Amino acid sequence: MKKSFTSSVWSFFISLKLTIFILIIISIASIIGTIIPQKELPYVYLRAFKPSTYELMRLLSFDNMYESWWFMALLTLFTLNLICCTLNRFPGFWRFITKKEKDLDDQLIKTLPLKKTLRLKAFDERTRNLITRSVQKYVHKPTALKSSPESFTLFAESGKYTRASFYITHLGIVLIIIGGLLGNLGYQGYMQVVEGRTNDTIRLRGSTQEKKLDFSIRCDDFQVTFYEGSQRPKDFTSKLTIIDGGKEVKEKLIEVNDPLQYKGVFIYQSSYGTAPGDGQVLLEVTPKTGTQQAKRYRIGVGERLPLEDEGYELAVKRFVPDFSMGQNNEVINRSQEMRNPAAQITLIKDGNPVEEKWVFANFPDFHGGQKGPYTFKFLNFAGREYTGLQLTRDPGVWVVWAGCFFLCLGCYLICFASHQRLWLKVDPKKDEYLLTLAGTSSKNMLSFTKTFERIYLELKQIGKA
Amino acid sequence: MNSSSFLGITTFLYLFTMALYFAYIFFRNKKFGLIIRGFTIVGLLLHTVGLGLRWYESYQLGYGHIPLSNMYEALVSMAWCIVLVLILMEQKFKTETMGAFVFPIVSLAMAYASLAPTVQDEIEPLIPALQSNWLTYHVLTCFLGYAAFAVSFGASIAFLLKQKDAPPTTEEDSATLPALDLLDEIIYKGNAVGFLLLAIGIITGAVWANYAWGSYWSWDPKETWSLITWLIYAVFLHARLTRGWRGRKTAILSIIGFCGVLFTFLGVNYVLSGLHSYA
Repeated sequence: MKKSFTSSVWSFFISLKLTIFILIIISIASIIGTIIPQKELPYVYLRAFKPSTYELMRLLSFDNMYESWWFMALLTLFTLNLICCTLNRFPGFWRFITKKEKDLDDQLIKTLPLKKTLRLKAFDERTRNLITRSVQKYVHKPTALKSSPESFTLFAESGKYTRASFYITHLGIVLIIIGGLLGNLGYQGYMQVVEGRTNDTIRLRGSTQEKKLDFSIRCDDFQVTFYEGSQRPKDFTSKLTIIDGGKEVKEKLIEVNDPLQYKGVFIYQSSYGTAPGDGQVLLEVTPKTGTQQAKRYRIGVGERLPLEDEGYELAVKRFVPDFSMGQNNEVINRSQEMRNPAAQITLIKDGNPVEEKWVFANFPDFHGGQKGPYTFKFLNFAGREYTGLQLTRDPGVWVVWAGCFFLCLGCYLICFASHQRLWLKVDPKKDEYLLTLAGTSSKNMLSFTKTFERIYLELKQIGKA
Repeated sequence: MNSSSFLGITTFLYLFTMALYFAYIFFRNKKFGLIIRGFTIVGLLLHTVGLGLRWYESYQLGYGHIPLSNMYEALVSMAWCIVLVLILMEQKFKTETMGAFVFPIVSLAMAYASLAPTVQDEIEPLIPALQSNWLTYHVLTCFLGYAAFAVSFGASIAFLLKQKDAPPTTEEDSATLPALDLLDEIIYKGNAVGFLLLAIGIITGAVWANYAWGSYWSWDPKETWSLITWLIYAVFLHARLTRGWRGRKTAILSIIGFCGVLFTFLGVNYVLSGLHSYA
């Protein structure tokens, strides 16, 4: 008989082979993604691969696997597969949960792994109560399946609903994947805000695209503290104010591991740096002749200040935090970190520049062929620092947390909870009674066997009395 | 005496205990069992003092933190977790010889931490990203999970070796290595507990990452490989619970899983790069 289309589709989706196949492909893809660098600029790949190989990799999205359409498709297929397998098992599970327990007959005894018998000389109300109480100590709520003055069947079970652990775990996994896919509807971006300034545009992660927010962020203060005697940052914090519709609506001091939240957007302290265009240079100026003392001047970049002596002015033309010389001897800035701070200063007399040179914080004795009447020393630079913020909006994150909760709950139940069932039957046989004890446990047979033995010993004691 | 001295003594003690375990198996003297248990517990106590002292010393330096932040501390804390889980498992299953296959891992970890030139043992201050209580929750749960997998691994090796030997001909034979059924049970229990702990470990890592960087999952090599390891053990659980696999097949699966653990714990740091490279 030919299968209908729907039943073929259904058998595809409930196939365990499909699950294994998808998991293997996802695993292999994930592993490749840890070996091939992800989301890097082209030159990183061209160092290791031929251009034609790189083009092929780009086509298959090997440089951005986890966000590629085929990876998402695999995850979606896996989720559908999981949902279908779960639904498929549900009727059987429901029947099991709601069925009425049968009396202990020979057929049932054959299926139970633990069974023992005991001969009782008498069976009365008192014995019945003692037996029931004994079982109750070890397995919850014994119920009488059959009760008459002459015979009696007791059934007790615990942990019936732990059979749902399978559903709870898989529900958790499905929620996590759905939450993850939903996250693609959000965004992640980076923003720099100079101390004292405001910004409302973020650069989206992994691209050069920009996105304007519907509110702005002002950095009121940025502080970084270092571990004593080192350049290692101990802590860096930003005092941020959110401005929405022209009004200051929220304020918070954020640091790493403690973000600011506004309108579903999370703002994280990510990094920091120094904005080279702003700030002030502290210079020490010493006259070459005479006995006058050295004097210190604090001059802003692009500003000029008159010196103590008549007619002289000092201007700071430019500042770079990491000075280096390029191929054509031009001055370049290697990075935003203060590795080789240098300032370009101009000495002006009566309105005319007489000397121009670079001074270096790390090389205070480097004079570079100076001719003028002063020696200059670059002491330090008090710059305008900027705070590096990471902004995230993820509509799926709470779905993911719900999924994690169910996953943990389900795993816990699978590992530690079991469904235990115990039958106890007393039957009259000629001039004595036969007590049969039988039971099984879905998991953890070793410890249930111990419990079974203990109950049996107690019943033996009751029988002797 | 500072933390290094205590941890050094502990390393030697563990190496000695490992030798005792092998002697126990070779010479089959039941009395050894109690002596070995004694040495193991003393070792763990000294180990605890060593780690505690290091924690205290970090506060004296001005940047106090739990010893879980660099490779040295990771190896030493990992060894501690394994010994703890081993003692608990041996106590619960009333067996004293499993440690023979677990102590080599412990001794290797401790020795490598002290002797390898690339492993710095100075106490270093924490970078801002690590200054959080999540460091403790996340790293400790993962380590305890790995420890459970390590004990299962030991039991798996014991299982395969015992299966290879001829069936026991005397009472003594079956008394020294735990019975195959018991080993099978230990492998299952160890992996089940490890599976749950690793799930919690991965999830606490995700929650922390969300707090610190705004992204609960970024397919970082360490994250990805921990997921792969978790999946291998998920296959183990499915094989055992749904397909009824037992014995040799599950022991081998358990060993494959532990290879995943090793790569996640060490391989990723040395072979690949990413956010976790500072540990």
